[in-house]
Amino acid sequence: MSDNSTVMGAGSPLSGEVLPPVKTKGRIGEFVSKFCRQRMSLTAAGFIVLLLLIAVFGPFLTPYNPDEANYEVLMAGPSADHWAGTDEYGRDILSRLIDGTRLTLAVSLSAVFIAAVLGTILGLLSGFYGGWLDRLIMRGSDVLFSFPDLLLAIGIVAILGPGLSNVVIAVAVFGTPSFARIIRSVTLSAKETLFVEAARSMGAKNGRIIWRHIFPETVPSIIVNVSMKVGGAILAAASLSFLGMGAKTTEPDWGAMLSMGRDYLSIAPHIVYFPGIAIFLTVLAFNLVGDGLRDALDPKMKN
Amino acid sequence: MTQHLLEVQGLETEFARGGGSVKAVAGVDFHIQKGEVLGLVGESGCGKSVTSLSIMRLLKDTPGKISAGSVRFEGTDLVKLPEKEMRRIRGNDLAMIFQEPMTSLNPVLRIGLQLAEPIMMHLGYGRKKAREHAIHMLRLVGIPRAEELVDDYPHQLSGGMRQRVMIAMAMSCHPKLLIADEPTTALDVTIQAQILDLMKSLKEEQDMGMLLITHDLGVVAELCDRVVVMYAGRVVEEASVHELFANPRHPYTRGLIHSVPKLRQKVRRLESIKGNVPDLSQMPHGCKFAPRCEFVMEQCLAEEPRLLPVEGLEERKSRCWLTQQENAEGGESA
Repeated sequence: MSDNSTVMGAGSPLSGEVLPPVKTKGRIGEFVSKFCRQRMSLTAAGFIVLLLLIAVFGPFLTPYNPDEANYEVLMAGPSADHWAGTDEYGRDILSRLIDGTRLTLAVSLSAVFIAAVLGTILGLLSGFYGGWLDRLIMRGSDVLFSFPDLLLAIGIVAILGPGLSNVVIAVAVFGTPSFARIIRSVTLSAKETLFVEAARSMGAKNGRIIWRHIFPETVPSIIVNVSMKVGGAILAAASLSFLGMGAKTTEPDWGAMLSMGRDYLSIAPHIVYFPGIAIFLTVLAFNLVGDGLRDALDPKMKN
Repeated sequence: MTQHLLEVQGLETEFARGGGSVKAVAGVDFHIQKGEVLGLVGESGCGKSVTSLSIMRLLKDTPGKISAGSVRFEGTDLVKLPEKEMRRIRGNDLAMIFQEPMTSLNPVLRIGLQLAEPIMMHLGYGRKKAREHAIHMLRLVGIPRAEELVDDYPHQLSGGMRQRVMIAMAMSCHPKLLIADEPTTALDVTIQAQILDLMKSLKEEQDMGMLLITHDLGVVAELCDRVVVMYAGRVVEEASVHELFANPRHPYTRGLIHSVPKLRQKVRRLESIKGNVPDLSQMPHGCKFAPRCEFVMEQCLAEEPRLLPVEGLEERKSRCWLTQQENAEGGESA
């Protein structure tokens, strides 16, 4: 008996509780290793990085001046001189595609960025405060949801007038409600957590709780939704340009290039092929990255 | 008589449910003095936690609403206080510890930051001073390597350590009253004892009042000075901790005490009180405990007894016809 009690008394009461310092990868490390396991998404991400580099260094990469007409090679097919052929003014299509990358990415990324910021703010407010504010924001979203996306964008551009900056506004407006809805639902579950109640019990202000405790919970959803929406935004911007409501026809926007090439589809199909392929690949890449991000950020999909 | 630290009078809290409303707390009275530990005991669903949330005015995100009564904290009625002033009291004079240490810390924020925020807010400290104070508090609750641990995330700590952090947070602004809602229920037994000891010594050091909510009578015996037993949203018995265990007057309290398994007795079956807490929307008419009571009489079903002093003692009350009969008889013979 006495032996026993000595043994019991020997250990400090705390010794059982102290954890050895564990080396953990952390949230970001874990996310990176998970994402890298998905080949498709990784490849797509590589493609997007390439696109971004092209967008930044475009002017140094173009083999020809993208705006220079050359009437000796009108609508020439792909050749060693002009890899993607030339258009109806004899401009080098590859150069125009490279130059247009910046325009396309700038329009779609800024539109999605605006939509994400607006939607996140609205979603946080709506989910956190509830009541009439929630109803107002959600019914407003429903109204926007009830329009077909492109029709709404066309309507907005029709009001504001054509031009790329108005295309950005239009695409941002129809992207906002989906962010608002997603962030609202995350907010609703996050504000029920005990640590929010604990923070409240310590006297934290609402703004503090939203910013410190609820916003971080929504970040994964925001990232995933951004990557998913960029593809749609590229398509929408291209469609508006194709319909003559976005970029001017002189600008090397991919959608505008499609629009111009349409008239010569039967005699020079390559004028539309290459911008079309560019749009297709870019949208596909963003969607694949979005899928990969969703899988990597979803804590329920542990493997 | 001196002013009580906390005085709850006729507190009623209603929850909206399917058009109507049910009373989760139906007229609760108790008080806590400075430096005193009051135990609030009862089964699950008897309104203990709702009472504590009502005191803290944390019902905003629930369908619940305080419908009557007052909660006087050092003389000011918290029920009538504007939200802004309430926020200044929460975490400052009035702090709370929750049942689940695993989820009451935000997993994505460093511990030091979570500790420092209320300190900066209530004590007006700068970032650096608040951090030092946070480290000091962590040391105070017995956390080793406190200066390293402030930069850890909650998942790097065990449940007992997290509860210590929560206690450090609640104590950081020197509250006058600490509400502990089942602070040890989620912990294993050895850690429970450590946490209880810690709370006891901190309470004595800082001379604060404490409202300890629990269903564990062992914890009550360990820590409390006085006990209030709740059943179905009502106080059924109030006594000093010694009186309660030595001489429980309400049949419900007796049942609770008997259902604790005893170490030196060989028993085949654990004792229990038959039945469940009645559904809040289908309360019996008379005494709310009558359907489960072994001493039930006709009077019990007809009319609800009031919470009355027992044997003329101050702070010794019971809500039962039986004790009131005995009282009357005792009064006659005396």
